[in-house]
Amino acid sequence: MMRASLLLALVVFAACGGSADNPIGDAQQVDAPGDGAGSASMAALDPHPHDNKLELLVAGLSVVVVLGPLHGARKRRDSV
Amino acid sequence: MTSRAQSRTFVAAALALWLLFVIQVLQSSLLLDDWYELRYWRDHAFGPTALWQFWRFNYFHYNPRIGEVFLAVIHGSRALDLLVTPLVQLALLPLVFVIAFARWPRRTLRDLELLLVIQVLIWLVIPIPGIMYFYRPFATNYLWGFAVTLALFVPYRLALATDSPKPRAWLVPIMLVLGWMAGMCNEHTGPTAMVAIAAFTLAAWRGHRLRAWMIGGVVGLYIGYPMLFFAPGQSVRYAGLATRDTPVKLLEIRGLTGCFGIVGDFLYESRLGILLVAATAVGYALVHRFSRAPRGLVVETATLFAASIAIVVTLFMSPTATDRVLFASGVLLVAACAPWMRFMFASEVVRRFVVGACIVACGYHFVRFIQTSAVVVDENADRVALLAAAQAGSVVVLPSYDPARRTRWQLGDDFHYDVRNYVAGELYDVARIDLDARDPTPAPHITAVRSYDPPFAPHHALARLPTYRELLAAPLPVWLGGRLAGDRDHALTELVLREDELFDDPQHRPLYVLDWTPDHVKLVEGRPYADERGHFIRVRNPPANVESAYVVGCKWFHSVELAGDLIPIDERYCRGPFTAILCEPERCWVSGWF
Repeated sequence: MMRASLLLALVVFAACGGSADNPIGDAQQVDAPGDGAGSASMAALDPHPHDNKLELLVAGLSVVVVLGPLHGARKRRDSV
Repeated sequence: MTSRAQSRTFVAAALALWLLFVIQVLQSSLLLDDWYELRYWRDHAFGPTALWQFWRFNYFHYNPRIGEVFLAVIHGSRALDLLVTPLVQLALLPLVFVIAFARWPRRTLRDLELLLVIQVLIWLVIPIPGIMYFYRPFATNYLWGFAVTLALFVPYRLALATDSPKPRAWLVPIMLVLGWMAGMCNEHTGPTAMVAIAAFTLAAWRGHRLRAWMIGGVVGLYIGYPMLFFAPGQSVRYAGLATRDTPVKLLEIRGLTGCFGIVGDFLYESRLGILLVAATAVGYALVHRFSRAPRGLVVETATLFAASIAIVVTLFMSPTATDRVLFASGVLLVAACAPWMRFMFASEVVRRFVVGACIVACGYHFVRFIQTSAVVVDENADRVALLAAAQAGSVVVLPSYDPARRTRWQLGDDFHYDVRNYVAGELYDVARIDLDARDPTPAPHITAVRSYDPPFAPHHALARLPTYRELLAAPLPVWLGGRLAGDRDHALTELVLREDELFDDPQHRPLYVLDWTPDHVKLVEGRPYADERGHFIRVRNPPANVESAYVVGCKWFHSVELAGDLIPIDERYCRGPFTAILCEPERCWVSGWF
């Protein structure tokens, strides 16, 4: 039961990162654009889109990290 | 694997990472704040005197952080850039290792695996890693800055892990300087660092392990941070944003929702790293029963996690809480996770899968970093070549970068911001820079409309028109000088400076900044004003027939009511700078700033 809950929590967490753009939250509303000398803060106001390939890659790797050891351990048990 | 083979593998991996950082230095582009450095080193010879002048000016008039001096150093000397930048980027990794494990990494496969996991988690947890590592102004201000802070804490962490740390008198001046530098690094990391160093020193004193160099570090940090926080430059930078409101006032403006929003942003930005750590924990739990974790592990993790969140909490009272200031918290979050990863690496099968996953993720980052920088550096070189070949006073049309928007890996097209006006006027003496593709965030620019007697259409645009704030500081002749006289055959009878793109007027009236004739000058002067009622723009000489008033700021505008000579500023949704606009039936006027 505990293991199933952990797995479910992980899947829910992984599913949370699905929107296309990073929303500008309240954290960025209280911010300042530059005034000519230091316009980097203007860049900071821009949302940055996700790298969808990276998101998918890490999600896939996470699944491997979850299931791989289980599969490996079973295989070893079976061989014993 | 023999210990010798492990040592070789360790060195090879370190060299590979160092090589990545070297390649990235070789592929550096001039972007955004880099242009200001270019200008400085055009006018000054690289050396200690110029660097001292640079630091002194910045401290009193601009960004007082020591990261700006680091930036000047790597811009001033290509050799130093190539030598030092990769080393600092590489050094961050063992520094985090020491903070996490209270020892230096050894040249073993096991430590190499832990370093690999730490590096991958850093790249996954920090926002915009491609920009934080390889856009030089962010790298020197945040990555270098936090590396200095971690370096300050390394001797404390190592000393408290031993029963009897050595006195090391020679370390006293070094720690004093290192502490001062750490204090001068970042406004939002300083308070947590001060609390942490006090806690370390207190623990050392209680355990009879207090050494003189520990006091040196404390003194340096406690001098450096107030020097940064109260630097005169803070009142000038970003139009005085840093000192406009007290931390308590900022907390009040932000409210509970805003504070939770910052924590939410931090966790959201860290999600990929958290996912990988959580996956490791689940993978471990599916194979093994979690034995009771050692108390030391729990305490270390909790302390590092608390330090990470403490920096995030500091941002509640900071005027800026954008993604780049989450760097230090992200790195500390990784340091907090690292001991747990080592704990779970006790399972051979879990360790293998996690290390395999990290090798893949690391490879992906290597490829994306190099590939992205290679494209940007080519586009940047083309842009610089076109600017260098442009005629003085002309309008240059440049190809837009692709992609123009910011991504996880690169900054996007910096000429979508007002820096392009600076580059045009200050660096290449051209009247204006336009981009060939549609500009999603056009930089409003001042244009000049000239009338001559007899009528005449000038061939060249006026290079380097003054901004509104420059006109408030000094009259028009200071900026345009002899160009107001016309030429031998044509007298200049009127010069109107306009900034029509700043404001989307419902009635489509022209927006005047200044109207000059040989007999009179009309400039509506308005400056920031604050009292117990709030923030305003106070207008000294409003136009005669004002029928409507507006405030433009943070990419939007709204209609406002004049209260005498005061125009109210609404900072509920964003903070300045704001521009006031007063409209007569025929035209509108730029009427002040806040």
